[in-house]
Amino acid sequence: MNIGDRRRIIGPVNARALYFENSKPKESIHHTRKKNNEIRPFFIQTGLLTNPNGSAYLEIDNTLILVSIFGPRPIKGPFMNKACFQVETKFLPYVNQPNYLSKAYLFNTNNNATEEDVNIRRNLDITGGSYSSYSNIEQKISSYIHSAFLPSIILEKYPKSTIDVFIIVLSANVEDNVLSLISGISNCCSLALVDSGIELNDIISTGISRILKDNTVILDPTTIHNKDITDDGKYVDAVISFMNCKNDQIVGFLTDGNLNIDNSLIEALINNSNRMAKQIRANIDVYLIDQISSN
Amino acid sequence: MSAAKIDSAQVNNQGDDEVFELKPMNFNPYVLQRIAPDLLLKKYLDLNIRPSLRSFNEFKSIQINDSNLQDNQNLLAKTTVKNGNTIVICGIFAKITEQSLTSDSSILESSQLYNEIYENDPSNQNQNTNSEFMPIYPIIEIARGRFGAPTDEEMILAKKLYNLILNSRLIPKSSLKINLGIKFTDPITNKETTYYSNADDEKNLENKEFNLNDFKPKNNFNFNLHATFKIFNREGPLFDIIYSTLLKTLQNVHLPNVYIDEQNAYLSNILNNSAHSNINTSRNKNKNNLIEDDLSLICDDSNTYPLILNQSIIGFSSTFGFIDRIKSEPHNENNISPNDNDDKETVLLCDIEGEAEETECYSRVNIIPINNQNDSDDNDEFTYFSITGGGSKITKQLLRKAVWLSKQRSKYLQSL
Repeated sequence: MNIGDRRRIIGPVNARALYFENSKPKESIHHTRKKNNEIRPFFIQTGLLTNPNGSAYLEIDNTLILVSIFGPRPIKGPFMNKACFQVETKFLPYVNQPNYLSKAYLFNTNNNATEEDVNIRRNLDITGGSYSSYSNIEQKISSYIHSAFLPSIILEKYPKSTIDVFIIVLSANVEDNVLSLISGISNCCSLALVDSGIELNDIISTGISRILKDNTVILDPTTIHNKDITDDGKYVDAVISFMNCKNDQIVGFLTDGNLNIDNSLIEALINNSNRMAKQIRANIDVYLIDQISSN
Repeated sequence: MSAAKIDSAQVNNQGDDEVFELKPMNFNPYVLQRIAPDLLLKKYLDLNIRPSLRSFNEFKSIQINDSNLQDNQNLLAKTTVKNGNTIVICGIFAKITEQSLTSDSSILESSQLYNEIYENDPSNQNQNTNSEFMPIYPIIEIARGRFGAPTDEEMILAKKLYNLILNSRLIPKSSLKINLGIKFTDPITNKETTYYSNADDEKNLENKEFNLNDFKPKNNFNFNLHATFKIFNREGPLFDIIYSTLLKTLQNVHLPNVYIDEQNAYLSNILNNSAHSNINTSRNKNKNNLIEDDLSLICDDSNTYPLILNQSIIGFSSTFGFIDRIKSEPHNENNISPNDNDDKETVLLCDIEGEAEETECYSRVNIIPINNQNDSDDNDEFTYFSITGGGSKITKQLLRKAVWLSKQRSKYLQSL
């Protein structure tokens, strides 16, 4: 038994995760083929859970995200004139986290895997190391969501209380990149916040776009597009969150890639991400209006 | 269900002409079950119905979905169960541990000796120790909007599940033992072939040029099964649903075959031993030199086999709550001992649900019957039976009813 964590039964310490030779994921029927300027269809539902104050569920390809909002709940301690806002992201223990995946992905596609890659793969701990602490990627997602939603929620309306957001990734597309996951999570959080009835300045919608070396623009890049960039290798991804009804104010911005970023490139990224964000916002709005009218 | 009503009362203060009237207060059932669970439960029970609008003997609805969404190779099986409003997602994954023969060979040898004695004696088959069975390692997370350490309930459930699986002898050690294969590459055709030793091979061993076991590391490798539970919408005690979900998931587990590459076998050692390997294979048992430090065990997910469970103890759990209520109709039976409890009767509630029932029902019976393999007579064996007293009188009759209900429920869950 591990003496590090006495509260959980986590099994023998010297146990090793399984290592699959042919770790190429099975071709899934859920991989959407789409044009570069299209976004993938997604499934959304609110109010799936009854215990939290608000919840939303989002499904894109194999990625399943469940967000629950607890709050506003009263907190103990000294008086605070506005609500305290916290975000927690957790992957289910057996879900591959994208930071490991990027390594695994490199290892698969590149025949000249280095010794280091092999070791990384071999020592992958699928639980991300520990049940009690958060992995890098979980922290990264939490901090993005926290900073993006802070301007949206009217915290002054809820003094001396706390609003907690719990994000659970039930399943992740094996080769998806982190940014694509963040955009899904962010849109799911918006819906959950609406469902909880917490007052917002605006619903936040998030778009993701990729620009390649030859200025090709890809909205909502998927697994299939990930395969394309491995030959060339030069690309830049940006996930950007907007408040579309507040003059498209940008509330979150994260880039990844290896292209040199200049002003014109940033402008293109913003414009394209905004295009996607607006499409998503339109979908969310229609869903919410449908819900009101059906009730 | 209409809201509850607290009787109005007139308070007449002496010496004061003024009469205060307390107006009746109305609460909706959700509020009342928080502030006065006993009152709410009593009001419902008097109407022969429960706060969840189920009848006393009615279980919660259950929906089992073992969609094999194999998005992840590490995940051996995954089940989503919806029980009432509660959603349980259970995933099982495995890890590999190595048992070094050099370190505790004496213990293993003695246990092998023990096995040989008992396996040869059919009358003693059921008397194996628990050391011949494997537990699972459960991690239970109940979504309640809390950060940080696991709650008491999560820890208690995990420990109970761990103990129950180990002591009920559900998973024999032999089902999790890895039969290591070896992959050879033909130097001329570059064709890769993986050999696994099985019973047929051993029969034909003498005809073969080599003994496959010589190439293998002498240490034993085992799978360890880990189960994670994620529970949403908790609305009552969770043990039954967690145990049912775990059994259903375990029945779907397929373990991968595991092999090592021939390059990892320490060839010179094999060459040295090949001359007399067939004569005495146990001779180099304590030599740990067939293993490299970083031996890579490779799993083949296209080549899997189902996990073999001890079918003779499979059954599904049910919990019953017992609670007193005022008799609705006067009974004509002769009262043996007339006392204050005359007007009370104990009723049995299946699948405790909701705050009112959970806080008021302390008398509970938890039963895991063993399902009959052949649908002939009832067998009266149980994997687990616990009675918790909590003030209500649990009669023989009620216990019989609980046992009967639990068997029916278990059969029903098995058939799903």
